Amino acid sequence: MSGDAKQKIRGFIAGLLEGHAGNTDFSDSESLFQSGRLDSMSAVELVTFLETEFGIDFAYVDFDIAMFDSVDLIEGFVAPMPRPAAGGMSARR
Amino acid sequence: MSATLTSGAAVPAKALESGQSGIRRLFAVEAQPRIVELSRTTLGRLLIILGFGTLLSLQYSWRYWLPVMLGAAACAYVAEHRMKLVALSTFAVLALGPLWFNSLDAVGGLAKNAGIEHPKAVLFLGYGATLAVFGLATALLALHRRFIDSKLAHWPVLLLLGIFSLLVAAATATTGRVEGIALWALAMTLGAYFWFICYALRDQGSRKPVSVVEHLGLFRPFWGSTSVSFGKGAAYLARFEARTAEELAVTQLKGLKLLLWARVLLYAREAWSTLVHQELGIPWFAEAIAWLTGGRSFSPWTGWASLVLSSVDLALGMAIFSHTIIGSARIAGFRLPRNMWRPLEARSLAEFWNRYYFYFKELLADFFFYPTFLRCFKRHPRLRMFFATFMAAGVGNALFHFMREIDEVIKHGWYGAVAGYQSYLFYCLVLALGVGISQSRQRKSRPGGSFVRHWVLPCTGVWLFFLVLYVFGHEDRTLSLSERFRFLFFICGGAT
Repeated sequence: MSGDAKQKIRGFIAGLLEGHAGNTDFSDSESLFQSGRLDSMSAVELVTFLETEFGIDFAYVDFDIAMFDSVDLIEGFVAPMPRPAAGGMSARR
Repeated sequence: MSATLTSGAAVPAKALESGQSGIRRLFAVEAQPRIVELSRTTLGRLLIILGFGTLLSLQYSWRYWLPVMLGAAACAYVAEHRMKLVALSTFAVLALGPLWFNSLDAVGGLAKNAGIEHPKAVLFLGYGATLAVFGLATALLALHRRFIDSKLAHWPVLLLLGIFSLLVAAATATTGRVEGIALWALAMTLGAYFWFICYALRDQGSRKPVSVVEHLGLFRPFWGSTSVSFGKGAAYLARFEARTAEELAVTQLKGLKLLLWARVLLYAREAWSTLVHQELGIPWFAEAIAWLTGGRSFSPWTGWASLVLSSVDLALGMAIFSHTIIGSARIAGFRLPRNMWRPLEARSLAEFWNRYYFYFKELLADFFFYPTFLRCFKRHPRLRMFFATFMAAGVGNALFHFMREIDEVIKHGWYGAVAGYQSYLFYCLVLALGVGISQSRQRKSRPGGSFVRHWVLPCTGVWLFFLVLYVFGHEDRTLSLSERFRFLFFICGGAT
């Protein structure tokens, strides 16, 4: 995964944490949802971000928010994804 | 809709240092190194297990507390075989009490009508139906694993719902015959285990698949559960296992504390009930409606008092049973988040359900909210959010409860069951609209705002909504929708 994409994820997470009036310092391996730092609304916002930014189609993914509990996990999920063609969505199992 | 509350399960030490009041810090025994150290010794472990058993024995018969206590001790201290021991303990508890979800009274009535008078008939039916459901689940898990890439495998709820519907249809068609008794027993048992099976099917796609026996061991795990799985499935549970001796000690201390708190709440509830209902003569909610329909005179304030006190009683009951369950799971070495966590602090309806009944909210999120949100109205963000919320809080909620109470069909027939359910359907509709709107206008936390605007007004609004909803959500199915509306109209100052 490119450092640029990782920075985008980190930037987005930092924005979510800021919205929760929380500490915006976090490591790549730190728990975001199970630790309670982010809530359900953030999960939904994160999903929407990953859909639009990385073209992920979650329709056939066995979704579990634990898959996105840290930047590292998000990176692991997003990394194999080919970047979508303009306006397109790449399906993923 | 799927936030994970930390609810004391794994609160980091820095939270203990900074975010706790003096009184909370006083009770934070798990943060005191000497106590944690003692809990790691043989004597400390013995004290924890004996304390746990004693607390359970105050509430349950030996047939329940003894296997739970022994199971928890085994799971806690034989960590390398923890999941297998969970399964073993679950089966032991189940063998001693297979009818945890329902006494199968309705099926007993059918048996009596068919001339089957054996005193143990219902118990044998319970064992048979449970074994059949476990067999069905085993077959489904095997098939699911075999066809995990098929489209149907992505819809475990629909798949299982199809099977459940066929079973209920067959039971309805054979009501009055001997095979109908067995089919109804099977339908009711499948209804009770439905969501456990859904979690097991879903978890087969996880990175660390577990054996079928371990899945079955989490079907109403031995530490307790309702039809909602407290601890979800194997994948979720694995993330909350205590991995070190220190983690285990801290988890168990928190578990013991939660069990003690449940006990305190139990005594408080009993005292409260005696004071309010016996000494002050304030009726329970259903009683107040009976007074109203019976023409008995009382003031709207008494009606309000009845509503408030009954809903507080419900919340206390929920806290007691869920703290007991989570406390037991923690003794066994799983630092599960609490089911109920400071619901009075909820500032929005969505947050309220997260704090009030976490595992039910998670169930609705896992099987209704996310599947809908990830597939429908992707180009319309607000509609997408609202529709997914509606599917979870409305449709999922209604479906869950109707399935759980499928024996109403045996007692009253389909027409009677649906008619009795109309109030709950209305409740689900209002709740779905309320939570949907709440989700779409979610407040961001602004601690800098005034206390009244930031806390008092939102929290009061949430509790008022909860109170009004309680009128329609109260589980007495004999109360009609019109009677409930009449009560609400009356306490709001309208003539009856």
